[in-house]
Amino acid sequence: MAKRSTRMIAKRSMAVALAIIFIGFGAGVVSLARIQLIHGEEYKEKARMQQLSDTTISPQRGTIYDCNGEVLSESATAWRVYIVPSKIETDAQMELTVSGLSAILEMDEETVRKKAEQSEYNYVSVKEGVENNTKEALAAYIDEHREDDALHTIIGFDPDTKRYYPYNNFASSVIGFTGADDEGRAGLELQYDEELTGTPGRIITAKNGAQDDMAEQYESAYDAKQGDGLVLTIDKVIQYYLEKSLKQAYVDTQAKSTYGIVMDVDTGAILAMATMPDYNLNEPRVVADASVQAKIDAIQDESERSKAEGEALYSQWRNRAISDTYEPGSVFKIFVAAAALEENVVTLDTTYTCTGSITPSFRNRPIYCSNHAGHGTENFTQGLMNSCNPFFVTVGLELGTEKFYQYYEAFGFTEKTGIDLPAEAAPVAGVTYYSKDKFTVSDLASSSFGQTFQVSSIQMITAACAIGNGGKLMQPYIVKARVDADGNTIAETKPTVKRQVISEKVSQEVLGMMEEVVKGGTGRNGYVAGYRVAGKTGTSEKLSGTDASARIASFVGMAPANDPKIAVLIVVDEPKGQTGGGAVAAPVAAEVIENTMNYLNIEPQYTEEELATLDLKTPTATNMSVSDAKAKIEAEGLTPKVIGDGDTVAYQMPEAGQTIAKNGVVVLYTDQNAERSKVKVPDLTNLSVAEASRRALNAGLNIRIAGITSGEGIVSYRQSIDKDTEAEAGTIITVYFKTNTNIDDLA
Amino acid sequence: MASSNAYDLRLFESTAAPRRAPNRAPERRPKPKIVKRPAPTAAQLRAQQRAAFRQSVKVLSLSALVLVLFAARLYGSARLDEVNHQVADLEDQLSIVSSENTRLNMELKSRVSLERVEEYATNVLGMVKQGNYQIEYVDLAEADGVVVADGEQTVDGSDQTDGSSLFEKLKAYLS
Repeated sequence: MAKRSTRMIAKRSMAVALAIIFIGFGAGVVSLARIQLIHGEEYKEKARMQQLSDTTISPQRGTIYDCNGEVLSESATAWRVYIVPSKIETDAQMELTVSGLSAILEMDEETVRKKAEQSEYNYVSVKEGVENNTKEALAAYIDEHREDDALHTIIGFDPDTKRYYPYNNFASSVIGFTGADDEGRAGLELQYDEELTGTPGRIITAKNGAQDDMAEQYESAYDAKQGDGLVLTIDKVIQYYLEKSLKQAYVDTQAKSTYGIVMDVDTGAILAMATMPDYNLNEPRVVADASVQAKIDAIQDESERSKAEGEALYSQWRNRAISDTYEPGSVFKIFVAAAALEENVVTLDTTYTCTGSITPSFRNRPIYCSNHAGHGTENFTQGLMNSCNPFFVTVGLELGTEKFYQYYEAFGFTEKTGIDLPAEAAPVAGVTYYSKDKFTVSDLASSSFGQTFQVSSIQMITAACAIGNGGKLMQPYIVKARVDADGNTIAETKPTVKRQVISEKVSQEVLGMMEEVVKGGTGRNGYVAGYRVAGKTGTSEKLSGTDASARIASFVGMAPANDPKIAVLIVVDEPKGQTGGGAVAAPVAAEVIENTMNYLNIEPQYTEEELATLDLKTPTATNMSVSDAKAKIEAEGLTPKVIGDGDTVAYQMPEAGQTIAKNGVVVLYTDQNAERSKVKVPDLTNLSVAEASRRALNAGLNIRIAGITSGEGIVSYRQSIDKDTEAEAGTIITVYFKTNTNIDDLA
Repeated sequence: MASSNAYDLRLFESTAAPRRAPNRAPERRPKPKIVKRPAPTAAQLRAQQRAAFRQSVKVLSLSALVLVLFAARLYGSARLDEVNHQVADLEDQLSIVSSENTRLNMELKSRVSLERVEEYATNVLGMVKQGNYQIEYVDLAEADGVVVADGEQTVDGSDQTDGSSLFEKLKAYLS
């Protein structure tokens, strides 16, 4: 063999080198091609998942405000605590988990244990809406047991939101509450759920090796759009007055429920709406009434018990002012009066002689009046004042079925009002009211005094406002405006006139009649000193109930009567004891009207008689000599009482400037450090004004008179400081008066 | 010469002498003249060294610059990461603190609900509701009057000007 020349060797080694290079690169190229072309998408996806984080940003739920901007409901971020039961391996871990969670989260141990024992699950939610301080405490507990028991693999936190209702029970039936996943479940939270929820956002960021988010230049963010806020027409103060009075009535009458509405007569805006009994919005699934809860707990059968609990909860969540229907009773007479006057079937001077009952030709049995002996001859106004059934049956028959039905529809009783709240009772022809083609004369007779058909409270008060504002039926609404997160108004509700029902003249006439009802008729307990109140009482039998003696007492009032600003409707469902609208519902309405008028700064105008019975202002007597002080006090028509031997008055009770009734007692102490004389408060209920004053004075106390004071049959029914309690001499006790004579309107 | 019947091999025989590469004497390239470079002088050496030194300084400084820039870039990146981390942390804290704020505000509101306020005012402070007679109306309207331009406000409407200003004096003088 010839020796290979270096050239050849060089050539060959080059060739080999080239071959190696080509193979190497070729493999590289092939591999690259495989990765990029064949598996390209797959790897891209994997890389994306590893390098990018895609998070959804939950939007914050909108805030609910009252008409003055007070927050009624607001959301904040919170935590959801979850456990991974499949990771619980030892008994020690189980015990630590259960005991730690139940202690820190204040939960029942059994409940937590049941959750922890579901070992087939990887994620079981323990508690939602956990606040940050609790979460920190739990995190510390987990850290404590990190080394030994690896609790951090078992217990974890997820971001969540919590809805706060700062005033607990306030306006509970109106506002409603949210459930899991922050969804509205009742009330406005449900009705406006979409607007309140907003739109979720999204952040896509690049993550570095340590799974931390990288610089903003790699970020794509779509901001979450916070939910819209709602500004309600509800006024916090008026709502408070309504709730206070309704609650008192609920307790006093031991009724099944009490509910009421306050509406702006001119615009249809709802100023207040409440149902008693109510519940705490922060704990909606807790039965608020302890006695009801006790009854539920007593049920042995598990399914029966949960059924009873469900019923109790639905009952407490129910907004009765919207969802419940009732027979309107005599309150409906104002609409019959308006229709009759508008159609010129009667005038204000039309008279009728009431003999106690009326038996129309198509009936076997007579229709009775509330006064079986008869009211005698009365004009139209007096007929309304006395709530005379026979008079109104006659008027109704005169009006005729067609006209009556026309006005029945015009006042809005055949359709929903369309208020922006859920679960409004829908009138059903043939069920809750008579259908047009089947409306007979006999039906007309009973409908004329408000029996045998049903309406809802919201329909009633909307129609009453039509009488009060000159005949316009307004659209009731509860949301004044929607605002965005910065407070800018997005949408605003304008008052809408649905239709003109009656003329202005007739509206004035009926208002005048209603004012007389409060002045001298069955509505006397609706009287408020200094304000002209127009109203009508109603007492009706509950047709749908099983109890034959069950009644619904109601009162609708508007004030001031010459140009009504507010309308108040109070309904008491199944009151015990007294059941008349005039006895039970009218005093409640009077309280609400008085407080609201004061709050709205509507100046009272007292008549001569009212001025005479007004309370006095306690004069200043401190630092005067005893004799001068006594003279001054007596000059005002008050009774001085001196305690101590000193010469100058050091302290007086009641203090200067406080309200005191005529002949009230002013206690003068001559020693600043003298022990205040204490007396026992006597029972001041069921007394006349004079008797109550005398008894209080004898005990050394002062009384302040509330409610109606003139007229026959005035008795006290409530005192602000309970009897047999100790009070300082000279303390002013508010005593409430009402009348029980001639206020019956039920036959 | 092999003879073959198939081929006339005579045709393939060449009479000429076999060609051979001309036996040339290998050409001799002119031997390059090797001129010995004169040994560099001391000055030249120094100059060379300096030039070399400068060159290396240039190279080093350039590479140092590149390194520094590179390091600075890395550092900046790292700092940016760190700061971003801090920002994310602070944002988390912010959201926690603002929800605490909401929670506390809500608690505060529930403690000063209207019910509590009324209860406290009547039972603890012994206050009573304002009585209507306690409101006194004060009339702030003044008696009717007229304000004339350049003049004083008078009650009867006559025009009285204050003649003390220079302009007024001039006006009076000229009229």
